[in-house]
Amino acid sequence: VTQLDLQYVAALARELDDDDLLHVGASQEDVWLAAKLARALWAPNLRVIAGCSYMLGAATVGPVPRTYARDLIAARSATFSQSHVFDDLRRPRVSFAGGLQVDERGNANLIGIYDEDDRPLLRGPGSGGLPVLTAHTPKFFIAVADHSPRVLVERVSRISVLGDARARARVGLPADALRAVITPLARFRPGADGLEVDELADGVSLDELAERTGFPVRTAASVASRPPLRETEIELLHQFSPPTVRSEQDAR
Amino acid sequence: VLDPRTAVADVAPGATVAIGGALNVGHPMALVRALLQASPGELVVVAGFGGLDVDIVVGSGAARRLIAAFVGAEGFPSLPPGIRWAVEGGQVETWDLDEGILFAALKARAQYLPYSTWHAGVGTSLAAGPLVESAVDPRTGSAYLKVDPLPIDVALLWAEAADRDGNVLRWGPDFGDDYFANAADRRVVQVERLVETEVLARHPDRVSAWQADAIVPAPLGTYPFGSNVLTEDLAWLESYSRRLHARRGESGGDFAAARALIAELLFLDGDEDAFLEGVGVRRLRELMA
Repeated sequence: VTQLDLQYVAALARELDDDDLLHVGASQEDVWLAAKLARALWAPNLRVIAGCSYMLGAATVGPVPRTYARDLIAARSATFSQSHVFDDLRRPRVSFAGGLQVDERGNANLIGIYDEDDRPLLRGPGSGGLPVLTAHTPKFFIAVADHSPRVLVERVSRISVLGDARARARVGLPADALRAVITPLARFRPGADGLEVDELADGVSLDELAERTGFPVRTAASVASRPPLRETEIELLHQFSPPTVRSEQDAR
Repeated sequence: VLDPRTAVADVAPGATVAIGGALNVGHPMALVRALLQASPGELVVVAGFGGLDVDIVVGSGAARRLIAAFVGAEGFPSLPPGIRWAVEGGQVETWDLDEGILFAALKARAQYLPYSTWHAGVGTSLAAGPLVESAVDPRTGSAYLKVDPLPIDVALLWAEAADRDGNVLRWGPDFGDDYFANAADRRVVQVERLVETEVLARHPDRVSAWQADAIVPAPLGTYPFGSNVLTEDLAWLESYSRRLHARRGESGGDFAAARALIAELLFLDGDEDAFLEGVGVRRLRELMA
């Protein structure tokens, strides 16, 4: 586990507020760790749905909540019904979407990558529930564990998650719901013409970022340095167990 | 009350088959294995948050179309290797949708609706899917989606227990399987135990009344996936994923090689117990602990 990985988890955590209801998706160990960090330090009331189980009150579970794990179900505070998961969209949940591709408008693609003749080059896992979780919520994020030009692209092949503010407004969704795209190297905020970098991880230059990003990097009015990890954060993250940062690299 | 082979014997070539469970848990693998042995072919496979069970069916060449919101495994990084092989090689057609659109399509089928309406997904590629028509409400000017009914011929599901009347004891979480059960013409439910109705009545909040048309007792039959009595075998799943991915390279993309490997890994030439016998008592006891 590198310092960048831990900084990345902490960067995800810092976006979470005490009154949020966070929906941790499948294979989101990094988001789960971020939730635990936030709850431990500044968001004790953060409500969490993880592994398709509700974590009521101060309830917590082991290091990595695989969805529907036996122990998790046995220890559940309340039963999560997948059949009713979208019945309460007026009670918005915060989520961190991922993607095979994320484009400079803030759209994410989990469906697949296609060539110019629309033939599939890489079949993805599918959009899951993210199109719903990111539709009516006033706040969601995109988390990209693999910051590379093949993931961060000018245009996605397919749109699973609509982050583009203007396109969202056209179809009647909260326009500014996408708050940030966060990677181990940087944080991008939506700007007038697309994503703008407003935070760089420790030791990462704008030149390096541009080299490792598949769309032209625009900068916000000011670009901050990602805050260094505090001792307490490092201790807690190690205590919570090292993250297995998501990656589709092996499968490609 | 049927055995797995009899339960799927009527699945016709080209049938639309929904498979329940989610990710690493709750998949009726005794039924899936029997289906692969029966090999009706040209199936339309439907899943919500499918696991590698769906990958196994598609990778074995049994499907002509995949309709799924998601297919994947948790616990190791991998994209579904059989689906990648089939889709990228042009062997299988996909209808891309998300969980919300899938549920809307199943609801329309279950409730005899000409279509159901849905809003999330507007503006995404999913709004252009075969089951979906983008529309604008003339009164409000709001964009929305019309979602066609999705007929399901057979739903293959798993539950903790059931009685002879088809009353089903859910584990707790439902994986979204209720939508499949409501939309399907026929519901086959694989269970860990066949019990008396009085046993179900002790857990009234977990009983789905008359939800099964056929019950298939198959203890530990979700293996390699998890259940109320079994932790999923991550080592098996990861090995499956790795070996199928490697076989694609070794075979030069010959899709028949996928079917051969899957048949070997699932002991498809053996009887109902052959798969679990191949896994062995020691491993099963580890996963039950």
